[in-house]
Amino acid sequence: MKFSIVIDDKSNFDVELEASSEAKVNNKPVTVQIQDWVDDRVIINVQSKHYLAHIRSVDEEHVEIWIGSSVYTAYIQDDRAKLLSQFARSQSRDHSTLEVRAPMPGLVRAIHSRISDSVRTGDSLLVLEAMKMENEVKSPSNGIITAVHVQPHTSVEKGQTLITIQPVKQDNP
Amino acid sequence: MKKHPIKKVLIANRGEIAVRIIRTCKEMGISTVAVFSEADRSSPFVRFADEAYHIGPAPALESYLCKEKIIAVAKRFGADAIHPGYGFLSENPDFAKMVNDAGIIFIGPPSEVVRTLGNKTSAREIAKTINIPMVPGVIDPIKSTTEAKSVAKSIGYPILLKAAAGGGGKGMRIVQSEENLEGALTGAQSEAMSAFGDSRVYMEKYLENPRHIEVQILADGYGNVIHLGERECSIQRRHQKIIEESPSTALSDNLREQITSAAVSLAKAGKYLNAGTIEFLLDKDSKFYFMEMNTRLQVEHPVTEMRTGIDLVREQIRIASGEPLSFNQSSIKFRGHAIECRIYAEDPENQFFPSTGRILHLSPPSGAGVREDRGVESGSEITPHYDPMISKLVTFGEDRKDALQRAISCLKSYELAGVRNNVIFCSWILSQPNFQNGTYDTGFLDRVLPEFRNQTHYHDNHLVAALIAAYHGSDAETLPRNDASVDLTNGRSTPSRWTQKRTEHYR
Repeated sequence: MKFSIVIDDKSNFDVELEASSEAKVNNKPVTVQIQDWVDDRVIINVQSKHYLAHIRSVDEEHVEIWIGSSVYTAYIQDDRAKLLSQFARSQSRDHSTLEVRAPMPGLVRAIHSRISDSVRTGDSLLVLEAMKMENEVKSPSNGIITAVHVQPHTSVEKGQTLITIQPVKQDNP
Repeated sequence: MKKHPIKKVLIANRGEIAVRIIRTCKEMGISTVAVFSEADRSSPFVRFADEAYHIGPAPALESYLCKEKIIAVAKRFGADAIHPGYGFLSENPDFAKMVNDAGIIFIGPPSEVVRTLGNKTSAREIAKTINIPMVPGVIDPIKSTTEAKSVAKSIGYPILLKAAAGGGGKGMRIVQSEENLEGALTGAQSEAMSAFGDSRVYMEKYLENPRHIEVQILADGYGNVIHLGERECSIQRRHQKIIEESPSTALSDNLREQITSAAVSLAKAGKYLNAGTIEFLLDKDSKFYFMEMNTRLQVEHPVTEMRTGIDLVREQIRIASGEPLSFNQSSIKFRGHAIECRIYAEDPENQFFPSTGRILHLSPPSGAGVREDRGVESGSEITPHYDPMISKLVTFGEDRKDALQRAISCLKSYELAGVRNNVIFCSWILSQPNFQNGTYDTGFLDRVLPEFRNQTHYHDNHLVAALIAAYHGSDAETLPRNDASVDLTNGRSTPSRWTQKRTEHYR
């Protein structure tokens, strides 16, 4: 399985997991062994150094990974866009629009986008507060906002449509 | 002085300082009573005490600041003394008086002394009578904008406005020029009012980037006053200390002698009793100025305990029960070097905002020369109700280099998951050349902060985090949760560990 991982919005890793204790990171082999994985607690051996990590899911694309005394936020996208399909990617009735849905129940804190705004993949559309944390809901595509379905300071349910986007194909990423 | 043996102490505080006080009580064979708020039901200090009583909801005003409730618990359950710790009611003269009036010993100075030496304005008056140097300014609180303007003109800008009753940076404003004075004065007064219930503000010359040096003293009821050396606390953010050390690199033996003597003479002049700390500022020309006195045990007191081998809480209890000091100045032996790092649930990357949440995992370092005072554990919740301090990590070394290396090594191996914290930040500060060579001041942290934020720390961990994230992603659908033994390298759950063992064998 192939993943594209971004750590703390600055380090990019293409990770390829193989059916052995080898993984490829940015096309270079790395020896990895999961020694233990119970609930949110992982002990992993990477290139003969052992690490203890704790995992906390933020939403379906983001996880917090705690190592030592630090936290690293990982943005996960798999090659088959499987995760994407669970989050934000719409099951749209026609292929001309994308519906951005709430990844979790929460309170809309702020809306950064207005109708007819043009957005790029990864742009923050709105801020959803859940479990006392503010989560940025990002655009799954380049496009134009065609509808904003929620108001600031209102509660939303998981899966509720927040924003509709008319995707635009662009050559530059 | 009459002796009153203390057999049972109520601790009117929470968190690490409650744990720390209870520990000494236990060592002295004194039984302990904890009081706790709704938010602290599961806090370690509650279990550590022999008895513990719930006194109210989470907000401190309805629990830890509720004098009547605390005294009522002490009376009802037969505590003969109350230790206030630091913060909360520790410097509240009314509380000290109410405790005494209830026939209970207040472990600290008498109410009158808290009222005089604990108040900046009256403490300055006493300091003036014995010629202790002070930063140019006015002793009386500012009464009007007109008065403020004329005083500021006479001492010269920049000036500092400070709350007479407070600390911790609240009610404090630096004013660079007259046009900003009026707004700053109003702001400082209203902030002081809401923080301390006292809007009095006074003015002094603002010293640019001084060093913060304080002297620990002990005074018994027989007129004996001794000092236990200095602590330097110049590493501060938002006027709050995060790293303290002793001895200070800024003091020559001669200067140390002068500053500690000044502290002892102030304590004598103010008829001080029990443990206290006198805070000074040291300017670029090595001139020191009296700033204020803290009439209580301080957060950073373990630094002094590490160097002197004296348990300050034990001495506080002995003094409060009417015992004389069991040592004199010449019998105090200072040894080595000690450094304390305050580990806070706050984000140095984001303006030191306090962070809340559950601690998923906590595994602190230990070993020779390492002391950790802490009031939380794995599973504890850091709530927004109280100070977000997680722990005080104190290291000792035969010299400064030794203590520093030990501190850095401890911080690097500190495991703390679930709540954003300043552990890495503390170790980074200790590694900075200007900290290492001891030439820092109270402006140091703000100067180096941009550099800290621009750096990527522990880059190797990014690779590890990326790998875990990928496994986490692959595991999302295929793996059952709560599976005790999984080999995720092939994305499948395995029923036992033998498969893992086998793959290990073949590697």
